[in-house]
Amino acid sequence: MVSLLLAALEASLAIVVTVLILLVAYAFSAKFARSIVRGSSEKRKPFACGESIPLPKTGLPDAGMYTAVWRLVFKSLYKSLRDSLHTGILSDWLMWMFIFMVVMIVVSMAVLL
Amino acid sequence: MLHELLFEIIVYPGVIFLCLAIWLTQWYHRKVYARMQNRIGPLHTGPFGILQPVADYLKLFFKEDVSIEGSSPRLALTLLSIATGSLVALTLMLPVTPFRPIAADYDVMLAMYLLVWPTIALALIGMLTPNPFSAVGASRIFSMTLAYEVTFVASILTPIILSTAMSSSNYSLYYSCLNAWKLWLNPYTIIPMILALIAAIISLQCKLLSKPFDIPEAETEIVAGPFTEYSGFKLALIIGLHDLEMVVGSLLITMLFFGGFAPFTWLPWYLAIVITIVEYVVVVTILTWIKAMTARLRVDQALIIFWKYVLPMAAIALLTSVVIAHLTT
Repeated sequence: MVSLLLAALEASLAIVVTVLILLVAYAFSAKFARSIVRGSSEKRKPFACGESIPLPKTGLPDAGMYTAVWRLVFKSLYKSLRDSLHTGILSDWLMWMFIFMVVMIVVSMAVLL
Repeated sequence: MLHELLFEIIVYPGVIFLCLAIWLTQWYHRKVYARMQNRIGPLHTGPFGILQPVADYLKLFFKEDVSIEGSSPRLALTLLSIATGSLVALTLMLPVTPFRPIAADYDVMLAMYLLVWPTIALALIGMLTPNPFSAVGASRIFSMTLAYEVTFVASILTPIILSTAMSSSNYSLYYSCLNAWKLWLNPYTIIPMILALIAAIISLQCKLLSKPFDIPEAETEIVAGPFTEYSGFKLALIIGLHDLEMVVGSLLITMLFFGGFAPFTWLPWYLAIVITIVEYVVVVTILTWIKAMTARLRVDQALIIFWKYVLPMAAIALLTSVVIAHLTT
């Protein structure tokens, strides 16, 4: 474990040295290039393809972060599963519940043993 | 010992070597990509356009750096620097260093941690600028991460588990790189190695946000995705991080799956280096070929492809390697 800790420290040193090199390069670049970080010039407004967009409306709600996953992938998967498995017949539902119970018992026995 | 480590970090195989590798890899990548699309590619800057990547970086280096209202430019710079540093550290864990490498038992955990940093940085810098295109791009990166990160880790673990079982190395990336090429000679391990190699290359293509997985920076839909509001030095860092990911990812696959120079230690050292470079160029060419022959997928199509085909492929390789390792030991 000591050698792993040493490896982690060496990797951290590599990260720190690289960060320092890049910060020095940034400072060097800032000497020559114009840096626009203050003021209210047109350049500092969010790019919205020529439209004007107020700052509060530029973000994405947290719930929308994984929209593609939930809405496009899991929903279509759920729909295809529902259409193929859900028949509306009580005995089919009992069969699925029975299979689920058997799986749960097998998993619990495997964990306990 | 410290001065050797500092030489490795700054000169070889660290920052300076990686800058040269990025320059030559990008020139080759652009030339081959252009030829595959019946174009000429870089031509005018230097002989055969070899200086074009350098010119592009220099242009951004001296361009004005605009930070839009409400953004966090310092945090973005820090994130990009740390992600670049993590890839430099990962290179030091590969058997390309002339001195003592960063190696230890179970250091594969450290390698996995370092590999995730660029993805996190690229997604977070999109969240740091108040722009709808950046937010959508970052959201797409996070969604894609659910598919390819697991697959990439599973495919990288396969040769490491197998080589640990077959040799005395203990889940060490360095020693696995030295021994993994022998797995191609064993009839039981060749199938998981083939599956893991295919999954690793496809996952790397996705990690690099290259076609057909360039969904987070789809220019016809969301301008440049998470990078829309960046310019000047920070944009150079973003492009540099992307190019560095390509270099280090290709080098990782070259060393871990093909062994680099390890199968050719009986040859003169210069021939062994040439063979390692050829292996690396083959991996870069395959990545370029996939990029040139495919069109962009939708995010749901990419996720479904990964979960239906690539992830099961990597999972089968990983499970098979675990069973083989268990039977061997």
